[in-house]
Amino acid sequence: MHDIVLGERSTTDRILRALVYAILIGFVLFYLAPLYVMVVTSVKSLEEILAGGLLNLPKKLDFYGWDEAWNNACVGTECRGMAPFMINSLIASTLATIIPTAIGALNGYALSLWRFKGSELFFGMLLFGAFIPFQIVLLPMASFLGWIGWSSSLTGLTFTYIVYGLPFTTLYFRNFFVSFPIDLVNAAKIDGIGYFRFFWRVALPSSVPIMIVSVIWQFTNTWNDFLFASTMTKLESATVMVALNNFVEVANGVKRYNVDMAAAIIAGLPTLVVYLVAGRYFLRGLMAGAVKG
Amino acid sequence: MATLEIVNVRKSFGAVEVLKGVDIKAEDGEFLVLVGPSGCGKSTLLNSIAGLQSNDSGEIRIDGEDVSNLHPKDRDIAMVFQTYALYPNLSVWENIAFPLESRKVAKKERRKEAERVAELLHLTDYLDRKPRQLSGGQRQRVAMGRALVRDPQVFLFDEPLSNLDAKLRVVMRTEIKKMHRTLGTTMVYVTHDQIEAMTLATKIVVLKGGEVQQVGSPDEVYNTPANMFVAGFMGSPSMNFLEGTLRQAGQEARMDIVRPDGGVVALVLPVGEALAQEFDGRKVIIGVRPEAMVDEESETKDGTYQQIDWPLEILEPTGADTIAVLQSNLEGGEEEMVARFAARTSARPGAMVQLNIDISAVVLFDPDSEKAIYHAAAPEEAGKLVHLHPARNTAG
Ligand SMILES: Nc1ncnc2c1ncn2[C@@H]1O[C@H](COP(=O)(O)OP(=O)(O)OP(=O)(O)O)[C@@H](O)[C@H]1O
Ligand SMILES: [Mg+2]
Repeated sequence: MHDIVLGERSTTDRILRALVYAILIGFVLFYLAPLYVMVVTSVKSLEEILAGGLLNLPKKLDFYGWDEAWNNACVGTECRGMAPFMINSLIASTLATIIPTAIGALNGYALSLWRFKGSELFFGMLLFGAFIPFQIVLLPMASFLGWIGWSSSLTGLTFTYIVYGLPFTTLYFRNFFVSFPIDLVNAAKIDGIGYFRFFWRVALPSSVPIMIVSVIWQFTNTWNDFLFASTMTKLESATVMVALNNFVEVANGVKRYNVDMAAAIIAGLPTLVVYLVAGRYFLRGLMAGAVKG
Repeated sequence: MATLEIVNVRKSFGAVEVLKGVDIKAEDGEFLVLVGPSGCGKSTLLNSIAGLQSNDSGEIRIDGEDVSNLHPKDRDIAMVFQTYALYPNLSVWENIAFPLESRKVAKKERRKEAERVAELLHLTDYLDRKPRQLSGGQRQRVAMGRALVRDPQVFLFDEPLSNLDAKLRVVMRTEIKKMHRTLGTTMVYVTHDQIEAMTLATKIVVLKGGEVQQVGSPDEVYNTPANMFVAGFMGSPSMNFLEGTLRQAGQEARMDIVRPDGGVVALVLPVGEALAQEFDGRKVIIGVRPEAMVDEESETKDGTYQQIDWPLEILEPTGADTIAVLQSNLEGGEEEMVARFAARTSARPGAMVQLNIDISAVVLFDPDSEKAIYHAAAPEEAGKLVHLHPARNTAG
């Protein structure tokens, strides 16, 4: 960004500006308040929580909640903590990010730069896939997975994520490559550079912004998914979102808010990391799509 | 090295016929320039030659072989695009050497080739830069480098200089001309800039609305234009047109021209008996180039100049000479005429001025068909043009 000369501002302009900032700051506080409560609650002792003072800072730092959540939290009768479920989620989400992004890139590339007869129709059908509400496909998908022997397994869940991610990733890459100068492809054709070489050497390296959008989209969506995960997994194949729900549910007697809060934060951390690492590119990619697409 | 033949090529997009049966032949080593106004089908024709689009009918022959059904990569051509089409993520040397990559040339070898080509194009210092770190002229040279690295049978250029500023354009024009002289490869060059066409071409093809108007050397196209379109398109400022009535006078013809102010002036034209007879009493249009329409102070050859008086409107001194703007009598005097006067002309705007018209350089047109009927520069063909089909009189 260049610093442009703003010149003198009028009074109305200043008032409006102040108003806009006030509103934005209000929203930010509203948005951050729960996070703040979660963080402080997770490091308080149970007595301190029960004594009230939701917004107070902890008198004494107590990591019982974090220790408990990571090592001992129970799902059903099993008390192995969150780690196994985190690993399940990591496996499912990583595969469901890499595979649809890779295939989506190739699809989008073909559908925009190397069009074939019927490619628009093909794209239209794929697009339709992006608009099907998941509730509709839940049962057919589950019975299909049962039929091929993948029911209630992490494999089945990952497979579902991959299939339902494809329309979106294809859409992203297709809309990105559609604004790619066609002369580059023509030059490649004349120079004898083939479909895959062009993809690998030129198209893919140029698509980093949209690749990051696709990665964030797939990772956060599959990581946060509860609908598919809760219907298609059993205890040992549960993802962390399903497990989190169960931790909170099973607790009988006194609710251990510090444990719940710590567990929720742990469950949300990976997506946060993905955002922080890729967020810069995420914005840039969205902008590129908005202006050119 | 190869000849290139375009035989009756037609191409439509939907209901619009963009190429209406184009016939062109380029000899081995020819510098063929396709010139014409925007939208006349130049790029479409070039894409046809390259194989980036299929023709509806007709043939493209390279060295006698019909390549119409060959993939672009199998036609052994290289193309420089108007947008340069550089791969943004590859460095300059990778861009230049990319065509070799699919030919299984080792990396070391590719780098060496890129260096060789870069030296020809003065790009040696930029080999490791990315295209976005280059100026327009440098990018243009990289695009040429990528074509040069291949040593193809035919080079295609689609308005390669149109994105450069005027000065750089002149420099690159000379570079391309030198390149053609060194390589001797057949080249097809598209432009809508008639000066580029004149300076570069060994053969010019003037296109309009998907039809070839004329094929010929720069000299032929300039001095013996086949029709009013070619006459008006080639040359800057463009040719002046005046309307008048022809009267036979033996071997010659007198052309009576009514000025916008109502006065009548006359020119005597040595058109030959046949033409004079055929057009006796009919309206014709005379085309006179600005440099063949001068004032008294300009140097004039004896014998070929005739004088007419005409009202002068505006004078625009350019330093070397003075541009005189006058009113033509075409379309009720709406059209302008431009004459080239001496730098220190004594003519005054608003008054009558004596125009010296070089009769040895005029062209006569039939106002109905707009085709040329007489070229003073080629008197030996006088009388033939009307009867022979004039549109392609210089083809081949
Ligand atoms: N893919 C296409 N679909 C439909 N019409 C097209 C297509 N490509 C070109 N045309 C039309 O064909 C005509 C010729 O286009 P072309 O690009 O060959 O012109 P050009 O002579 O290269 O013009 P310019 O000097 O502006 O580049 C134009 O009227 C254009 O609108
Ligand atoms: Mg064009």
